[in-house]
Amino acid sequence: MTAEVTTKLDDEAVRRPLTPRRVELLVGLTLIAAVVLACLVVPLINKTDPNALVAAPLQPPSGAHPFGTDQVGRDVFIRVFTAGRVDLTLAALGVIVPLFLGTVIGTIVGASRRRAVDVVTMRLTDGIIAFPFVVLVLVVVLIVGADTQIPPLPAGGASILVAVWVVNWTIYARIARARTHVLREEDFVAAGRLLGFSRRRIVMRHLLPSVWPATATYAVSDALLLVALIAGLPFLGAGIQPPTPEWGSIMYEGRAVLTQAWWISLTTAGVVLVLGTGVMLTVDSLIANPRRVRIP
Amino acid sequence: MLTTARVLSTRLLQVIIVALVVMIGTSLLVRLVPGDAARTILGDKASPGALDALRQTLGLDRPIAEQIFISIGRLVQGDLGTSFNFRGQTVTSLIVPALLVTACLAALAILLSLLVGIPLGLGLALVRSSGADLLGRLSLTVLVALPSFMAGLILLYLVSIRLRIAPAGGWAGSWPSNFGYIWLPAVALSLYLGPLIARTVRQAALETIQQPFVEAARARGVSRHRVIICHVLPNAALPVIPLVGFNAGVMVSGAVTVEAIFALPGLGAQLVQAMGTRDFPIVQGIALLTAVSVVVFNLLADLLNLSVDPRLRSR
Amino acid sequence: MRVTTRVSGLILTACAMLAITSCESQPTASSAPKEKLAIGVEIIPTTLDPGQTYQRTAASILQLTGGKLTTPDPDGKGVGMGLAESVTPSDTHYIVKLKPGLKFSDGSELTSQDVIASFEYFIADKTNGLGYSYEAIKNLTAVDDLTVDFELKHPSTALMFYMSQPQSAILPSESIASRGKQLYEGVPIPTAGQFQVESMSQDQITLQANPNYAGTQPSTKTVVFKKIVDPAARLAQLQGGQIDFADTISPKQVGQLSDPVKVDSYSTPIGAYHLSLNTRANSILSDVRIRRAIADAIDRKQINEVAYAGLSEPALGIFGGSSKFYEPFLSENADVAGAQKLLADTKCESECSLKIIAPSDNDALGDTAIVVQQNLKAIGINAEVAKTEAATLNKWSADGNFDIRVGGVYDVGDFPDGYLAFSLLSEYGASYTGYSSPEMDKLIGEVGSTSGAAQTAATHSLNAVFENDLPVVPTVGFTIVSASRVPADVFKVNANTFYSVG
Repeated sequence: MTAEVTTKLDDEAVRRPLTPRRVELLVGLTLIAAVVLACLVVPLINKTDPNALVAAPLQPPSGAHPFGTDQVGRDVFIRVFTAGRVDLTLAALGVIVPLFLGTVIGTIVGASRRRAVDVVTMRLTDGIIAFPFVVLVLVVVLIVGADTQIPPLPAGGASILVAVWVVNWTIYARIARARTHVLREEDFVAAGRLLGFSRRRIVMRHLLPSVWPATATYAVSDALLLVALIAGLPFLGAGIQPPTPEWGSIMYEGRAVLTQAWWISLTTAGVVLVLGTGVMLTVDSLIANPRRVRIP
Repeated sequence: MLTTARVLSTRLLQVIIVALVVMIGTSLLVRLVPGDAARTILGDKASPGALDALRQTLGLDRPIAEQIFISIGRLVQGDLGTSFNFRGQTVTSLIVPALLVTACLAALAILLSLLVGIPLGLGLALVRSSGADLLGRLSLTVLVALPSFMAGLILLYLVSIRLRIAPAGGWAGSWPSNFGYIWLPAVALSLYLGPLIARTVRQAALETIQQPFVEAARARGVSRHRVIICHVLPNAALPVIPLVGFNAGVMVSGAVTVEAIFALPGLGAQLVQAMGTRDFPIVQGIALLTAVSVVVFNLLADLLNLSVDPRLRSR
Repeated sequence: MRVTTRVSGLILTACAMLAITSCESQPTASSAPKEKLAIGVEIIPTTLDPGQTYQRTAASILQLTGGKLTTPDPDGKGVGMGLAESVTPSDTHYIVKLKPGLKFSDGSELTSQDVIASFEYFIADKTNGLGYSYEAIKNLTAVDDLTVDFELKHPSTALMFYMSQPQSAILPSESIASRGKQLYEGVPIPTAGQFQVESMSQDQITLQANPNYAGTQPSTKTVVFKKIVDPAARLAQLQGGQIDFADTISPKQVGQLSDPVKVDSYSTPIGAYHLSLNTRANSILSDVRIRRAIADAIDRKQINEVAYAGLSEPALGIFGGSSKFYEPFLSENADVAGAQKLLADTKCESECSLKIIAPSDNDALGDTAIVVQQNLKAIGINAEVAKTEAATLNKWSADGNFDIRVGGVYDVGDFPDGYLAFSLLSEYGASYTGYSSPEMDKLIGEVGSTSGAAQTAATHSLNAVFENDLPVVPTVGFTIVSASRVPADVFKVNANTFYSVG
């Protein structure tokens, strides 16, 4: 569950208005906001029941049904944005807990001088990362299962979260540990120790705040990967099952009728893509982007 | 600093630990899943007598701890056990063909990603028009944001059903005809890693170009071509090694969903089926194999990195 | 520079190779009789033991390899002769006379010894889930090399039908004697059917025409059954030309079929899709009035249109439209007012919640669940739909953790015994409903052990009891929708669910 290897962070010494980076950041955030807002607002304004059979099946997009109707006759437009709430909530929850857990654990481990702690934790995280995530998710999803339902999450949501929490914190721990290793050689840490601050205080008040940006940046792209994972699960017979609206389950159902009714899967995919592009643009703008220089 | 020996020993230890963790983990987890293997195998019309007889044959009537102990004991001897669903066939004989399919898919996808991603990234870093660079970067961003299974779906629709230049899923069972079935799924899978590689190479190339030694080389009279190929490219391509290693796990997850869409008889399909029929030995076998493969792949990537990048070697 | 040339050379070669091989693998559609057929199915046999093979496509594949005394009529309404020249039933004896000169696929002779050894094996095998087929047999004796006397415990019209099924394939007595319990392990034993098994893997099974087959030789010599689990993938491969026939496609994909791919759909001789209602004591639906309300509130026409693309038809009684025992009493359309009246004084009078469960791998059943959900909403019942995979579905059903389960029961011949056993017999769980009625059980037994007018009377009483109790609610006929690119005389699925290879 990784994106790219992060290169160095830019410490933004120079502030210039409307550099390409800022434009990138703005566009990215706008796209994300557009999708999130739509998911919040559309189901409030449009009162169509996402589960009701409102028209004949497989109708193409029209004025009454902007995204057409699906294979049983439900309105795809309202389903897509109702589904968005599910996916976004799950992705947010799936990222926040590992983010906190992993960052704290990673920082503590990184700050510790004891080799044993480092070795044990690293081997443990390696073991967890190597564990085939798909297998883990499938199994946990089946155990915790389609049975348990923690409102307001749909059935199956809880199990995805459990599987994700168990595995995902390791990446954040690794990033935090790496960053801490770099930071602990810095002067301010040495100064802190000379001044007699407790280890705990150094970690909490001095190291953590500098580690957050690294892990938080990754969290944004991790959220996107999580959305992709959740949406992919129905294709493996797991995850949020139809008929609960969820981006993946809508695309999965639309897949069978792709030749007759492209709009079911592809409008959903379009929305996911807009969100994804926004996330990637945002993440890119936060990572150092070297100036373009020509080879003379 | 890192030495080759140290990396090797660390990774080997890792393999062993991973194997144990995965083994115990899957054995435990899978047996906690509700649903009974015997009932699933025999189906709705099974009589209670038949169900009990099958459970006894499969050893499912023994306590969980004993079942796990037995499977670990067998594993140490290299025996992955026999399948519940396909009676009489060893797990190894069932998994290996599927493993080959998935491995080929992933290997081809990685190859494609490298072949296209590295030149593309380099090209984008060098292109004079910043408009073209922007367009290129934007396209790459969109592609990275596109989940693998969606890429697979779109390609299946456009290339197989509309354009009819590729079969719509399936497997020939013999090489070289299998190439005809694997290239499109590999392309779908590579649409994530390729752009990722391109972005990394572009970034690394831009950083490298800023280095003084590049300007120095040009000043010495080295041709532009040679500077790019012999000085910039090696440095720009370096980060690709850990990148690919890191993404091995992602590729496996992607391969599983892409296989589902193209109906390839790989590990993904087998895993889903084994989960559905509660075929514990196969689930364990696949989990173990994938985990060990990922670790071994990382080991190879690390070794390659060490041998190629002189900065990482110990003094 | 040399490096780049070499690399680009490699790339060009690779591309050329890919292009050539992918062009090579594009088969063209052909309508002439074929030497080799490829059929896409969801499940292939995991073992060659038909006694352990209950799933339809797997059983149909094994039906092609086994030689049986009788053969099922394509429409499932009766049986004809197979290996047997004649079967003469007389009160409690069946005298079976074999055709002369029968051989197994390895050339060895097929005699009454083999018939007796086979049936004795079927009866003795405790893991044989289809053992109920032979329940009526008391004893077997060989009258001579070609004649066997089946002594029965009671008259049974169904036995001749069960003799025609895959599980009754005659096996060589030498194989049974030498292999015992390992009968189906290792090299496949000789068979007497139209085809023999050439090879079997977990992804496909290949059948070759049996040169020693007693009947007509098929013009298609090789049939490969490929396992393609996902219905959409199956159809995609059919459209792409990799397979010639896709067994079971999702009905809603019928709209995308274009020449030369055609729909091939049929309804089983007996059977219907239905909703199993949880009648256990602690469930809401233990109240028969609510069950009747549900039966009236369902819009069967809508289910047929939405879930089956109009290819099936509303099932208005327990046996299904094609069966001669069918007695319609339900309505095609939803009767909302009538249903609401039935709900008066029940727990669901104002509002109640139900849980509908359905398999996640069957689109039509899933869509049925959604329509049912909407139909129930109209009478004030809030239902949630939960789709899941088979193992969890079965567990929930066994635990009674559901209210409505969407499914269906069918049989391959218009013989009600097996069908009734699985749908309404308390011993087998009555389709997960937990329904247990001594009166119904008695009537099922009567139907199974009588024939002619007595059987018709018994089924009539049974229908009356069913109409009263409604543990399951029929929705539409048991229709299987497949797609093909070869003409029916080359390959088709008969109404009796078995394959016929031309």
